[in-house]
Amino acid sequence: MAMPTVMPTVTATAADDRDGPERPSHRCPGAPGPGEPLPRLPSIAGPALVAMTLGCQGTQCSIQRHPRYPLPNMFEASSLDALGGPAWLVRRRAEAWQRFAVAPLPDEKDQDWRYSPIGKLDLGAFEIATGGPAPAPAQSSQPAQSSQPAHPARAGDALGSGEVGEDAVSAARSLASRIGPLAALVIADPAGLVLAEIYEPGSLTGLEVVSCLGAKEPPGSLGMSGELGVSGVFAEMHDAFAPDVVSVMVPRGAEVSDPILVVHLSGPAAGARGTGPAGEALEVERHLASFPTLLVSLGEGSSASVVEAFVPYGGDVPYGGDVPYGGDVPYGGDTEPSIPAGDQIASSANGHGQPRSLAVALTELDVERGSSLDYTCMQVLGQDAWFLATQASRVAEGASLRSFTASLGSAYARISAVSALTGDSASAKLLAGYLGVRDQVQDFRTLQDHHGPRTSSELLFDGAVAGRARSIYDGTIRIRNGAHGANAFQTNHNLVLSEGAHADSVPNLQIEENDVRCSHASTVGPIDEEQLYYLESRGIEPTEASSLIVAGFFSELADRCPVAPVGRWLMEEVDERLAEGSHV
Amino acid sequence: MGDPAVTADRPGVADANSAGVTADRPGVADANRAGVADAGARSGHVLEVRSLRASVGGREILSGVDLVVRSYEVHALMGPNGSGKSTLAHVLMGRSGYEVTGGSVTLDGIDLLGLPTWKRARAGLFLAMQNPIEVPGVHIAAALEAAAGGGGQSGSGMLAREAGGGQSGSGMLAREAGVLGIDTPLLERPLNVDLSGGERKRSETLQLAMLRPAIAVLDEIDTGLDIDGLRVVAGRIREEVAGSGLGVLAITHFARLLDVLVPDAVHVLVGGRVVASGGPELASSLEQSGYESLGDAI
Repeated sequence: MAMPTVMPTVTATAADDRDGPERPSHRCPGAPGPGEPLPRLPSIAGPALVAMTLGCQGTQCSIQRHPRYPLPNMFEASSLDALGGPAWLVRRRAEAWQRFAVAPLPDEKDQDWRYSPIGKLDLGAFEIATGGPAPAPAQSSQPAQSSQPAHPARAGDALGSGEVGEDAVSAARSLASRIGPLAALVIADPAGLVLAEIYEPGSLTGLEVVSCLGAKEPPGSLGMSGELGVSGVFAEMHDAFAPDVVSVMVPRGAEVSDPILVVHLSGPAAGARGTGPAGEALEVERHLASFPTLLVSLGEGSSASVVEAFVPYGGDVPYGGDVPYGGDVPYGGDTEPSIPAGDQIASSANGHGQPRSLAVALTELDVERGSSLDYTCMQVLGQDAWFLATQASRVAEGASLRSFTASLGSAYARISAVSALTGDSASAKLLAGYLGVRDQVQDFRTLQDHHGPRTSSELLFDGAVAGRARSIYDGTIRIRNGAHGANAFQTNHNLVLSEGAHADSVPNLQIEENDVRCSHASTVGPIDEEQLYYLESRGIEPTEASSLIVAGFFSELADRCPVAPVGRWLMEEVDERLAEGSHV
Repeated sequence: MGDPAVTADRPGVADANSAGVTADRPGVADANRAGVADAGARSGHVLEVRSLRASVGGREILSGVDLVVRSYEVHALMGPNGSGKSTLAHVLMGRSGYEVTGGSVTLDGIDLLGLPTWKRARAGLFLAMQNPIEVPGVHIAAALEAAAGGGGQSGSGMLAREAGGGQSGSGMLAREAGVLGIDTPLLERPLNVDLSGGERKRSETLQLAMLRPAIAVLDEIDTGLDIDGLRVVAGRIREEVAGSGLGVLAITHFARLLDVLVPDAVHVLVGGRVVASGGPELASSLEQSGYESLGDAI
């Protein structure tokens, strides 16, 4: 057994180690270090830029800007001005920005980021979605008519940033229809809440979906992740630049049986098309950073099921009628998926090139006393996206969380999941599946943090890597002083499907209490030879036998998805990705 | 269940449900499968094992095995523990880890030793494993579909039951499962996962019946089965033999299996060689006096 280790966080001490004269190589040339005055990058000359190259010196960071997208560089405080909202939210962002501005960017030497390609990230290459004018408040607190949106907000509106069109919304609706009867449909784009519809019988329970842009004061649970120890530059970046917080609130005692679907449209996954100063058509590379945020609060004794989907869209790229998304079409659809061209794939090889979109996501789940939450997350962003997500959950006395995450998309997907069991007898079942093909990196960091007595957590993460893909699972069980009688289990299985693929699995235990039961197990290896032999002895050729075994591996997990249609969606995605032959 | 009408193209039709199906071959037909009309009746196939030698980790396990199994024939292979019976089964099927050091194995003249496992299966060889391997998440129907869907079913190959009697594959599967006493929910389970020993052997038999190989090697199909299960499984295999010409090499320790299977020949493998061959009476005498009685031959 390894010595107990602390769940790593980026601390001030660790930061000091890197604040020497040598700047990390991923910083843009010319950018000042954390100790130097801000701003770190040359400022942008006002909002009415014509298409031009700017940014930091050196070609690798150059970006083209366009007058329709006068987005300031994300490093600058001035970009906050473009993010509207109530005073508390503006203040919150400014405070986070202060911390963000001095927080060092991590590199692979940080324990929390080891094995990751984080050092390849060039933040200077991104723009932020500002959202333009603040949208109308999107409260949905009134009971809605049957099947009618309570308050359709901004549906199909052209936004200052995301330009989510009718077809993106209708694609999200198509996704919704495949998941089946819903209590609510929530669509958010990089600028915030786009649409919130609450249906009967969900509306009768008092279920609310709120955009914080219209909230006079912050939702009670907002910022919970910080209290649970989530920190670091991306957490601060997120809080500084997130234009909106989508808040789902389930009242005390309410039982919302149908799923609440939250679709985050992230992107763009492809270049955008605009018009130059003389009216000429321009292809503009927009590398957009977005900060999807979801806060789920379950009142005492309530129950609900939330599905959060991260899907790509193509900015204001003409959709051409066929492919509503710039990246892979989620969930089959009627159209063939648009696989990025070879050069795009190469450019994101194991993070060696620059991602074309960056999503820094935060999901906070507040599961109050005696309540029960099913949380299902599906990430199918395009092959050119980076996805840095935090899932933070707090499970109170007698409450239970069942969490299911599937990560299939993105060049680099990192999901950091902190599950704090704070109350007596709180329980969490944490499931995840991931598949990396081509050059993808799937990266999971988990903390099962037992505060309360008699708490229980059971984690099962299963993943597979093919092609030249990599996966990282780094998980810690922490049993705090006082958490006597706790049960904690952690299991991670990895299938390595090709010579060029690689998986790391690092389980940790940190136990500060007696009278607890903990175990962890992890496996990394190729497909079981005996299983292959068995299937081949039935006349199944090896590649097909492998596909069956891999599909079976995932279906064992998918069968446990709290929302069965999402489990089927996972299987379709797995089949499609394996069918590409990229695993051979 | 099943259509009571019997296959018209076969003499000597008997009722498979009657106890002790040991009617004279050929021509024990299967009332349960009557609708199939045995469009894929097998005949004329021959598995020839000549002077087969094989070793594991440098140690010779098979020291020159000779066996010939033809359509409609049942050969029993008995022998003490460690004599090489299971090794022979896996060498025939092409499992990795076994080194063939001499001899030949052909099925209808095709050199099996030069083929990978799946092609041996496609050529018409089936192995019912002693310890069927769990394949999590892969259901029997999916595996059979993959086995049947890959094409390559030559005249001598597997005649997976797809077209039989106009039934769908799944309908056929359910029917077969019924014949073998496999509860429908078991079909929903992944291959061999959480199955009892007996259930696994029924599942192996189900796959055999669906895949319709030319020659089947049964590696202790009887272990794990209770008496009733044994009767059902052995009876079903007997039907395949008598009804449509399956050739069988049955590895077993117990004569009880052979009471139903009715071997044409019994062979005794000791020290990697066939040391004695005889009729069904050989199995009975071994049952009474053990392998020691073969002392001279050994």
